[in-house]
Amino acid sequence: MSDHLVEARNLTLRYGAKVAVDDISFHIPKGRVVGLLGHNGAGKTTLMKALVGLLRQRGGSLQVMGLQPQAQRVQLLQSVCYIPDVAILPRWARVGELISLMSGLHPRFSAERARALLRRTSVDLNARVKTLSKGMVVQAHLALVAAIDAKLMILDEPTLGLDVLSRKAFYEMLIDEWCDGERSVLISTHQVEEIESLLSDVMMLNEGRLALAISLEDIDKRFVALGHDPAVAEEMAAAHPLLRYRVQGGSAALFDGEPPPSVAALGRRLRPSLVDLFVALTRAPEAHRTQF
Amino acid sequence: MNPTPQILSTLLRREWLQHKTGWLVIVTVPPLIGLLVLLAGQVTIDIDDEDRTIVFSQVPALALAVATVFGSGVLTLLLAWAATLIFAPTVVRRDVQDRSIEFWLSLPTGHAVSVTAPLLAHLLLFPLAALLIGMVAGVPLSLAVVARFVGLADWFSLPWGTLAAAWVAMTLRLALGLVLATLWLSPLIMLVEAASAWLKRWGIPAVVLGIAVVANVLEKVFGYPQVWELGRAIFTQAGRAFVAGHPGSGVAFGRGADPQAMLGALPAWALADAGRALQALAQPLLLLCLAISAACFALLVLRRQRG
Repeated sequence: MSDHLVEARNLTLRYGAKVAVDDISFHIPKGRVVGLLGHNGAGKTTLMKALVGLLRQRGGSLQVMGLQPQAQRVQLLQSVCYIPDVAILPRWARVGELISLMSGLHPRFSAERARALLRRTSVDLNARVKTLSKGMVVQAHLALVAAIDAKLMILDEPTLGLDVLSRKAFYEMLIDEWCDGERSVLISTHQVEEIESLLSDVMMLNEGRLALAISLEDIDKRFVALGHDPAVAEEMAAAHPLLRYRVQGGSAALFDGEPPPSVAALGRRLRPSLVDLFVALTRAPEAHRTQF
Repeated sequence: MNPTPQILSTLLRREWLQHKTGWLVIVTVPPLIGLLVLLAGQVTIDIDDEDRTIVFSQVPALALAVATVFGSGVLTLLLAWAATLIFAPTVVRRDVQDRSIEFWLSLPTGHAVSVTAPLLAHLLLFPLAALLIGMVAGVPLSLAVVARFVGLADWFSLPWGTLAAAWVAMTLRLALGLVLATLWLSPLIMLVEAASAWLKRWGIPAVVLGIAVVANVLEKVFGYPQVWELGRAIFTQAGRAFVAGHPGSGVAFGRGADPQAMLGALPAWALADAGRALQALAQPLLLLCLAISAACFALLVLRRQRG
């Protein structure tokens, strides 16, 4: 088995007749926290479902932990845990009952660890799921999933609809209790700014196609943002940046690679944010349109 | 990897955790109501149109006890079975309806075992448990009935050895009958389950309408009455699963028969009748039933695979 936990080559996925993921290739190594970004309908959930064997691939190859997700789903889910975008625990169950059920259903689940993680939250073991707030349900779900001795965690917009405190608590638990440098996380969210500091890599999907798959380190090496005065806007536009946008105190232009020296001299280097990069790469076909 | 039996037992425990309240209500309320009626109310049973009634105080204590015990068992079984057949179509869609399907699908359990567990729990285990509870509850109920209408001392002087043997024999016979009847009815049950899984609330109407249309067209247009005949055969076999007896089967039932002699002969009759019910399995109709059920099961698994 390679060092990559996930390896996709020319992967194509469909929902009925619609191509949801179109001929993408990427890999996820061990110990990485990968953000999966994309607009609604970009194919994020489809891709994640395929990764856990809930969707059949229609082209290319996909291996997760060296396994074929759909054909070896049961074996795969022993090493991969998944919180879907509709993270709904069964409402009739008590949290303690879910721990007991997961002990019988998952060979790598530790009931003791789940109880320890839940003690960090305000979730009572005797509480029925239907009596918990949305934030508490997500916390309980993460505690259950984090108690699985898995190698890869897949989170599909896990904090959707949560308030800022619940989101913070969720990410703290994720980083403190699960990420250990060996395990990887693939997480999709629209709250890009909130998780930017947690990520080691990012993948951007745009209408089913992979717009970018890169480490955050390499983003700084590859993309250059130049802050500039409005007076030199024409010159900047003439250099065909990926995106022009406003920053505090002026404007900025984002370039893929080094900008021409004549233009570079007109501005000051800024660190491109993930959001700006995402906007720049997923606004096709008007890639050169400004954001003004 | 968790072995399949452990996963199945855990999934069965999930059924218990999710449905225990409803199940307990179904199996405990009827005996409790019966007990309250017996203790506080007036019981009169018309046995025909000529205003003849059973006078309980004139019925032998043994007959009263037997009728109460077996009546409790059969009534509880019928209630449980009826509830099961009514609610079974919703079982296959409940996780989709409460949106917890994604949670269950994220666990390393096979689709087939995940579909099997609720069907096993609802169609067989719960009715079997209801039968057992009804038969057990019938014993204290019989104490109340006999004490009320005949006298408490008569209950203690019942032939308990004979009664216990008959109790065991009838419990086992009814249990076997339930399993075999479910087997015979499985094509219809599974067809409704599969239709409900795929067509949601239109599943049952689609099955009823589909069968009616296909059967009538085949019979009236093409002269093939086989669909109706198949349905009749299935229901006939389901009925015989409980009582497959025929004349000369060894027990003289009816008015005037000696209750103790009848009771004493019951285990032998139950054994012979169980044999006849099992023998009835050896026919091509069963293979057809199993094939239809297997196809519907595959449709249920496919539905779950698709989330």
